[in-house]
Amino acid sequence: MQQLSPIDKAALANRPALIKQLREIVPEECVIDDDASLRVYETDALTAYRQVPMLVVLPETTAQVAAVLKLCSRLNIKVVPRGAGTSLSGGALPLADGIVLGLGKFNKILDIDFANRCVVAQSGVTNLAITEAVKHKGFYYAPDPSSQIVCTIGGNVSENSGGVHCLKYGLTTNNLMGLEMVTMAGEILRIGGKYLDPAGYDLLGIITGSEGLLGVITEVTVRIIQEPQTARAMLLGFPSNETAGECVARIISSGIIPAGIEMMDEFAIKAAEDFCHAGYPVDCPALVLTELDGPEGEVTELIEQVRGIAEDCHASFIRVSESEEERTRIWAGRKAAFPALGDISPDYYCMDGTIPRRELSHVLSRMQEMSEQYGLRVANVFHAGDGNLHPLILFDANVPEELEKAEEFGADILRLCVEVGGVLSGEHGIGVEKRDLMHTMFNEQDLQQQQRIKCTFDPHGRLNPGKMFPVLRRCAELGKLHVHKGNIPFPDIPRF
Amino acid sequence: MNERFSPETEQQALELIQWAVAENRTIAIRGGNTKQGFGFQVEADCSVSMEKLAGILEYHPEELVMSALPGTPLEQVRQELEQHHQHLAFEPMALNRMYQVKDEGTIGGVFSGNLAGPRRFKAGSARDHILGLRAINGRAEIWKSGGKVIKNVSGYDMSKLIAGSWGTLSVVTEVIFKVLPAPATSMSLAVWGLPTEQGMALLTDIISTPFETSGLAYLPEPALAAIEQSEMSFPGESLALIRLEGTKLSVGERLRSIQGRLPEGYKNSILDQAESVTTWSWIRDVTPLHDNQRTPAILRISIPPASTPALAGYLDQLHGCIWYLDAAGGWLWVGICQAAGEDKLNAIRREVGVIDGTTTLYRAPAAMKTHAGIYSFPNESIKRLNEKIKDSFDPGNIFNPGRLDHRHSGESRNPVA
Repeated sequence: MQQLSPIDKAALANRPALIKQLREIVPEECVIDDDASLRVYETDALTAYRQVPMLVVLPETTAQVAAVLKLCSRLNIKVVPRGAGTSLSGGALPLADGIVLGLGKFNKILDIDFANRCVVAQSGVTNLAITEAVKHKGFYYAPDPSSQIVCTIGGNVSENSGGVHCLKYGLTTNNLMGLEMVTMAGEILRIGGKYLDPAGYDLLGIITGSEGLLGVITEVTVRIIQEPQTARAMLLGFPSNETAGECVARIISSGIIPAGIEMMDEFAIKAAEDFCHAGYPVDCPALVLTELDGPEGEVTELIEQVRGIAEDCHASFIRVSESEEERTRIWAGRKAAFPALGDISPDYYCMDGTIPRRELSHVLSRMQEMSEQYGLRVANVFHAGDGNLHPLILFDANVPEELEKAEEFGADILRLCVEVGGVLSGEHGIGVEKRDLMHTMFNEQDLQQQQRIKCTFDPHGRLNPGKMFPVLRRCAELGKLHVHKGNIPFPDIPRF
Repeated sequence: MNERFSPETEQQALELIQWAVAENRTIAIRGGNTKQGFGFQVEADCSVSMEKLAGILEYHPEELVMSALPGTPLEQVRQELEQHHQHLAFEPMALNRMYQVKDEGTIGGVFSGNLAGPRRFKAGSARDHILGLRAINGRAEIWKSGGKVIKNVSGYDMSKLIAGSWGTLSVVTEVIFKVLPAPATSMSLAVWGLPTEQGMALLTDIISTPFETSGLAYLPEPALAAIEQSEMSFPGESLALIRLEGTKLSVGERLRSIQGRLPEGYKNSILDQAESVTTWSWIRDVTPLHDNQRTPAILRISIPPASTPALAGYLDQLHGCIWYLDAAGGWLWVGICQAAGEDKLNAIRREVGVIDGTTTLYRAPAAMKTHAGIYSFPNESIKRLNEKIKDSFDPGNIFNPGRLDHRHSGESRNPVA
């Protein structure tokens, strides 16, 4: 991965002056400029990429964020916003000639409003902290990315995070009600609030998932919902990936939307079982884990329906949780799948494509072929309800060229996802990781239309440049209107 | 309006827009021509109807995904979904009776208007269900966004901007959306005759239980009476309505549990599936405010649910308004009577501004729309950002000029070189 624009030497030369002026905006200790401390910020959760930033700034208030961005605009300094740094696509990868704007000090929940069923929080509050703050009254915040203990709600908005429960309860975009955001020019925008329908074009919709390229999020208002009366998990073992996939399809077409439905392949099952002894049937080539939640009577009924469907699909193993402890244990294996694979391989690379579920067995068998071709093992855990694959490619970074091989293998998997009608990323985002694959999904006109949105928020391209778009374009160039030759009249267009 | 076109393919639509750009012509975009009552009347050089670009392209019930051409009649989509026991969970309202036209319109219109219904607080609106699209921008370029899967974060979520843009950003040539299983059973508990305060308090109590309601509405006497005149008679003067959906057994259990919670003396009845569906369709389609003579202006207010009772009280004091509550208190639908309509609208908007909420003028006499505008933007920055977004898709302002802002009508737009 390369920085798309050449290093800005003027920015580097200006560093001492910049430090001085930043310290006029934020307390002295909130500007980090020593090499050892800067190194902490050199990567996010996509650890293959590293870059020490020019500086790190940790503002404490929205006004400070606005002032920092204004200053950076004036001095033409690039800015990379950062929450907890848990991006799996390199969304918070620093720039050598830019500052990292960390939102770590934005860690307060501002308003817990049960009457309006929402929480207002600063953007650096963790996802789980929101649920923790409301669970005493039986509420929770639904999107639950697996990093929810550490990832921030502002980062969730930037990446439109999902999680196991998003099939039934939606992604971040479906649970977000309002935002406070600062533009690169330093303007503070408040969009939406504790109500359903903001006026005009859907600004919340376009900002959610924009990967920190449109503005710096400082505050969010999110919907909280009532916990279900009951939740029960089922563990279903199948003789093949095909029968497991068929069972998932039949559950959904029978009219059941489970709270979560996951699949694991043989390799992942064995690794998880060895790691945490969740009681998974290691002789099953494919496993489906599902959870049904809702009113008690309804869950009981649905469990029986799912059991019937699983039996019709030749399930060789069926276990239903009878207690909260058992439910937790069923999920423990799935949750441990990543660390379990980390235990048997020095490194792994987690991919994130989405496919139409009907292509599952084709995609899995192609992936197996590629695995042999590259000489790298691959395990699969899979958000089966929505077709979001997480192939884990095992490799050893200490073996020369193995990382490059893993990356190539990963790119081939993503190309395959697009080829079968799927997409590059289900929930991890494009970032730097998949930036250069955007052309497999979008043509130049598609990308230009997206970049024009970037231009409306950040016309000079100073905010998180180098992420998402494979080619940086000047806004003036994108703004030009090319007039096609107009041939009139249209003999072949029906008129009425 | 000089010319009217009805392209049958995306390519034809593209050529048409290439011509419009080259000739600097403005275009009124139409689907089923059923929602012209929304926004300002568009004065354009020509009109393009998408109704011949119709048909369902792909439908995979087990994937929960459908894609369709924009001119596909909503009714056709609904019938196709029903065959597989699925539905559009966001329950798009039918605007045809509000605007006094015959048909319900097209699927393109549903997304273009970001329609929703009583399930709004739970299932969201059209924007929550759009997955992707193909469209032509005001530069005469085809662009696409999203995909045919329900989980996707590849690139900006451009489809969201198109939902609710009322044809002002691009001409949509294909829309891909999420579909969901329809509930096996849908029934309601009707509580009759409660005064406003008690009715709203009951709904607040119910929503804080784990009974998973999918509809909570309150119609005070004038709103209920407006339906009564046209449709049927009711056993009480006001109605608090609670909808429950799911398996038959579970819906029955929950209905009984809620009945058990009702304070003594609350007159109530259970609406079976057919009665429940009909009653909710009145609420969804704003039937209590249809009468154009009585309430020519219709306003939808989105406010924090806890502020609803106070705002309802304010509306009662204003006199000359008919209102009802939907979406679990998230919406107040308000019909404004003719006399002093504009003053009342301004007063309501001021009040909503203080609470922090938004208003959308769904129907109004032309003069009132011109003075008041369709939306109430919270501040100038948001308004300016809206204008910039319009410009990024349609720099020559050729699509539906003035539909959402009369000051940007054809006459005042900047010619493009």
